[in-house]
Amino acid sequence: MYKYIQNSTQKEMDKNIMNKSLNNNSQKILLKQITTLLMVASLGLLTACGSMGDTEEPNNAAVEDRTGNANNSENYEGQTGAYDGSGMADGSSVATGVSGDLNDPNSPLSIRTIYFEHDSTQINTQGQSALNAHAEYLSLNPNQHIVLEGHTDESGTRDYNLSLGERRGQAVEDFLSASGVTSQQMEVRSFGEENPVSVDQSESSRQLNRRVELLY
Amino acid sequence: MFQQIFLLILAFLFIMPSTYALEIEIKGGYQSATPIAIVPFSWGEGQQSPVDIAKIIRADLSRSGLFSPLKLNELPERPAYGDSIDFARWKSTAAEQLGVGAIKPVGKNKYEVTFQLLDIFSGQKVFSYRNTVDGKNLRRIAHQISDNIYEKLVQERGAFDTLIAYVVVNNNRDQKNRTYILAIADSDGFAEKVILKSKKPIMSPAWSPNGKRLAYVSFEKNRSVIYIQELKTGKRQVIAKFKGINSGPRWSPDGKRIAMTLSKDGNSEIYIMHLASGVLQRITNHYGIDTEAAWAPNGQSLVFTSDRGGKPQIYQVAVNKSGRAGHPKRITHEGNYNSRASFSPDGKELILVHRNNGNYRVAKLDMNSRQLKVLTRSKLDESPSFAPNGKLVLYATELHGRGILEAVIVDGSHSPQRLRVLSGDVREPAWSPYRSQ
Repeated sequence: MYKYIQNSTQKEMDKNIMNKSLNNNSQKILLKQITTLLMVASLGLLTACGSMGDTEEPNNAAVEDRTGNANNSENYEGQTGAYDGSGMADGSSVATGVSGDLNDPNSPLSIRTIYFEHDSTQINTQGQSALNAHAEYLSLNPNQHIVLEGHTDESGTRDYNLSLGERRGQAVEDFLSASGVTSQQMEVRSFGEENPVSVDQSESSRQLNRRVELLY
Repeated sequence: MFQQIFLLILAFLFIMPSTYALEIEIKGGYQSATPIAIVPFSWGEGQQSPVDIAKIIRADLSRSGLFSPLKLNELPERPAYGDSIDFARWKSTAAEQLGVGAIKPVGKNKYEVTFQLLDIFSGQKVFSYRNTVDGKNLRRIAHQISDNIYEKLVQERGAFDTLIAYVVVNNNRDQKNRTYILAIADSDGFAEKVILKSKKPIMSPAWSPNGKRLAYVSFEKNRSVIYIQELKTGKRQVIAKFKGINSGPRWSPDGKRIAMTLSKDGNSEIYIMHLASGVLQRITNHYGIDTEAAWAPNGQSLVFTSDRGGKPQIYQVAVNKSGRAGHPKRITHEGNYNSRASFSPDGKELILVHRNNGNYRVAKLDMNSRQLKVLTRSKLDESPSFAPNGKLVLYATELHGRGILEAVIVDGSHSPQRLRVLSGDVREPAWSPYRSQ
């Protein structure tokens, strides 16, 4: 936290310096050049952005990180490929073969989604047996990391559901932890109701959405 | 310097208008509304009008629920100036007031707009308005004239010249190809501008009190992170990226602090971040979920959602600037699900989401009497947001499985007005504060 305060104070100072320096004549000339540049650039953009159906990445070159716990120059583009949103990792990261194979479709390790009842964080027996297999695998492979991604259905408010999704992830974390998986191996994330598998508003669809995904 | 150039280019990117205009659909009329006539504005030199100002004013006034503008075929004449009105002809219409105006080109893309509101029975001028603007500001002029009419006739501040922020999801049915847009538009849903595009969810836009910045939550790094973005430049910064949840940013009325939900210490708790120093002040401490904080207009307390009593209910907690927080007190007791509360601008009411027979509806809670009144009728109404004058509430709902926005008049039994997006699912509306002129 101390580091963080220092960081942001420095940023504030930099900003002030930047603002002041804009009063200089030399800077004004530069600004004129920028304006010209912009005209040219925006012409290009007008052509490039003709189709609104395309989605660009939010450009984060302008993002300052004030939390002090991440690299300032993180590149969003570089991160998008890591996760395809399918909830099924390709399993290529680990190939130890110790007590089960992540790539074996007949192994209980192939079960990567734990489902929940409405407004509940209880893991049912089916979920427990799958998690027992994952706990064993993770215990025997202490370098293996796993993300536990919690999700909810659409009922209820979005922010509350974000917290509920985390609670589901933590329920799975607690279960695995009790079976010997270390906290360093696990990370809980929540998407709340923001990333549903199915959106047709039926109970069977809501059931599919109340889940924790195990992402190796 | 290169960074500055880049930021300016970014700024251009962020103010590019989009084609996703929202469209207002007014269901049914309002019986108690006052009839008023707004005549189409006259045009200099037979030019084609870039913007139909009178039409925008009529739609604004209709939306308020307090006025019912005459239809064009009910207008007996189309004067442009106060001195050319045949009042005798207007007395036979239902209208009590008459608005006339003209737009005159006075230079390249420059227009002089004049408007007068007259009382039909006395023939007296209620007010007159004159302004010279760029073509791109004509819509805004229309909303400002609407505000003037509202203020003169209702004796309260209008909120037409305001903005709304919201999230649009495209390809919502296709989990792998969903895309998300954070956008702002005029209060009538027109003139949409895209603020952020992402392949990952965006949540919780919140306006800074001066209307110049938005705080929001983006999952673009595969987890919740709170950003602040300056609207004019597109420049943004991460303000909370702690382990776990970073959500629900809400600016304090003085703009110096942001209340938020963080789970960095194990589970969801309310914190206040002091923006100048980055210092965090922890407000709640409970193993239950504490989230969805919102400031009282006097900045001296927060309301938030907590399930510490078993089910989500609204609690209020006193906060002061030195970092001390009081003991939270539960303030909702009706029903077993009340969440996402926010204060009316005068602090006398809360608007919140209330579950009733499995339906989630927008309700208002009188802070004095603690009486709850349900305002909406659908199955999944959420994210209610007050207009800055407290007269309308904008919220997200669903129609045939698609996310749309609706607005409902807080004091009244009118049916809601629908803001329909032309593509995608809309959600998470946030009404801006008043704009500076």
